[in-house]
Amino acid sequence: MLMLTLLEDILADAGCESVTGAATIDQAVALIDGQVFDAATLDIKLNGNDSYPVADALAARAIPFVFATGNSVHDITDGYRDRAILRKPFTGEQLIEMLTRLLRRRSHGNSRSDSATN
Amino acid sequence: MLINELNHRVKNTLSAVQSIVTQALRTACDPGVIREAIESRLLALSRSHDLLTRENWKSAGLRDVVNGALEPFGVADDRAARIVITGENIRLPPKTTLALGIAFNEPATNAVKHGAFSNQTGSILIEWKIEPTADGRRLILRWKEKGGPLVTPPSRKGFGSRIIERGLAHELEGAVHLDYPSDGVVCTISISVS
Repeated sequence: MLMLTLLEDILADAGCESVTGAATIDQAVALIDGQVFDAATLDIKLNGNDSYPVADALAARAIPFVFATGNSVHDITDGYRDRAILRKPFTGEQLIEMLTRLLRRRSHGNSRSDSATN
Repeated sequence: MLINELNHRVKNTLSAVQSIVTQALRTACDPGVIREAIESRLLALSRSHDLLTRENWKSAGLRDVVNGALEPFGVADDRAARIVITGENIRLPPKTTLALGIAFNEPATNAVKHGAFSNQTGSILIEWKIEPTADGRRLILRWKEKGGPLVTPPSRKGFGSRIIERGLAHELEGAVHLDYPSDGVVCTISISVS
């Protein structure tokens, strides 16, 4: 709850036009199905559950995302170990830098700035 | 407790503290106001942790959450007699307990500064009930103030109302409405409880 408002502010300050949050895996997957996101921040645990179904949905649509976790990086499952990871707590600068890098890496240079936070 | 689970909780708590500090710095310039905003939210977070620790982090009672959140506001000026709390002590999971503990701090702070607790006559009614719906049981909770100074809707949304309207609704998959009728603020919270 507090994380969402913090991320909203960090992303709004960085110029994101639209930030949408989801608290559960079902909510997140429904959002990804329903609208276009440029990038996402994904907590590895959503409501106590592993959020890999959300990561799968993002990966299937080639939406760049960064994992946020309170645990060590060793908890990341196979297949996602090479993904960008932010360890909580992280600074706004770290988040923006990582998202910027991911968006730059994307080949088709989309100029919109929507972002999803989970 | 597994050391990993402890680490996870500590990191999440530190992130919550970071958010509290960042928000306080965004919304105020006066060091005294900033300090008070940070302290009151940290204490709210701490009280929720105490409540959950007493119950082995399994659950907490809603009445205990409400009483805990209001305790620092009720002790002075005989305010306790001006709070009416009606509802069963239904059990809430840790996540809901933490979210509501932080959330109730916001209308309570507002009541002391501008609302029913800013004069000698206002009172706060907090009532809730469980309603069965097609999607399962929902908790409908209403915070209603009366007898305070004439209410004028805020010109801009502060962190407090954002935490409640967006943060709480998001965190608990619920709906939260803040209304500002002239005779007293009304906050209605509807959340899913299994």
